[in-house]
Amino acid sequence: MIPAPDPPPSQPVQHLSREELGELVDVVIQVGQAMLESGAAGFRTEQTMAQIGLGLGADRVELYVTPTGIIATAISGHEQRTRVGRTGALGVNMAQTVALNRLSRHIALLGGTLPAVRRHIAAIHSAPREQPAWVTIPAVGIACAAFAQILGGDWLEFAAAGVGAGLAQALRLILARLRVNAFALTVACSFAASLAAAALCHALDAPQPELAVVASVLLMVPGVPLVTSVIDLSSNDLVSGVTRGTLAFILALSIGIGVAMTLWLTGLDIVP
Amino acid sequence: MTTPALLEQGFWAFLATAGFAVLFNVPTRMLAVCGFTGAMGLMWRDVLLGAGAHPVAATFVGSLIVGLLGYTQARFFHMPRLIFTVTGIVPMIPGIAAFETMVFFVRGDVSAGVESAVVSLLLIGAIAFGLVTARMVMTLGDARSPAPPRGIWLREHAHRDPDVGAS
Repeated sequence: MIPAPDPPPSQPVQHLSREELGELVDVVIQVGQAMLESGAAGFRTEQTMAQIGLGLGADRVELYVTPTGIIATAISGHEQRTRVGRTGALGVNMAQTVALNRLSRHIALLGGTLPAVRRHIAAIHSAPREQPAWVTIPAVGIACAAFAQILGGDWLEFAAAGVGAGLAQALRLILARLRVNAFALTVACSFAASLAAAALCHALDAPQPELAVVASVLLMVPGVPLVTSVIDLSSNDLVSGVTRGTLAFILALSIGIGVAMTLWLTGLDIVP
Repeated sequence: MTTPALLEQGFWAFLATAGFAVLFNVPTRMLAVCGFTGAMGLMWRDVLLGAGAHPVAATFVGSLIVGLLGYTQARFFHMPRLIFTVTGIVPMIPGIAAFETMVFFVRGDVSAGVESAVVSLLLIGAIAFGLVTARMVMTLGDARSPAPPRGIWLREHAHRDPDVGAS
């Protein structure tokens, strides 16, 4: 932990120039976009943005944050600047959330300069993922296969679900690189995962193919937007909550479409 | 539920949660912590289910445990709480019920589909309210917990970072 410095009470407040304030709002919006795109809840996004804006020297920051766009105003002395920013696709990236949260705490406690903060944010943006693809794919496969066990399956279902989920994760990485629409990507990956799991169950003559099919598509379940939606709703952020809930619902529907295509193709009648 | 069976469930929940943590790009040294949280949540739920509790109640308690653990771990490791809670509830997500809903609808059996849709919604609600309840319990009587007025942030809010945990 960094010890907090004594606040400078007698220091005269220095006002920012119009240009500096404009750049400050720009940085604040960038932080908000990065937080939302990595899956942070509305309140935490707002708090992180405000800490950075105030830490960089604004007297007052006014924010309106929704999952699809941000309105931010920074005020210093008699000067004020407002910007609007749209966000890109909402994903999940915990490491980025952690890094931005840490940056905002540093700046709130110690202050900072605009160029340095800009560089820091660029570095956070371009940081590689914690694990490379060759670790992520088997990890996701094993995770979904573990679900087959939790749900009451055996080793045959474990294998089928693992292969299906690993395949879907590999497909997801490829499609994401091609910038395929998130809903189309979800349909394609759930279809691939469930088809592979069902086919493998058929080949191995597994007794409970439905468990393997369910477990294989769990990697596509929009768990983060679902939970964040309720957190937003519980902190009275209805716009964010409803938006995220709708996103989660459409993603769940996309999974359903993918699996339904598998069921239709294989003619599996797999509910007890 | 017998102890070996419970431990086995915990083991699989650990693997599932840690795997999802990799997917969510959680910092590598926190993977095992996330796995532990998920295992604890699921094992508590299983114990209660074994004792005859209603699935919704059992899931609520499991998710409450995850939320409380998330608070502790967020303070201990200086990480946002989000990374522990969101991965920790993963093993309790009602995959089977949601899946059945869709299969029933595809089959044209609307009433059975609605039934399992309600079940999965209740379970998801139980998970979410477990986390919300954990937050309510942990911030009860905390003078710093009332957040600054939403949307408007003044200088005096700058040095006041209520807690490390992110919602």
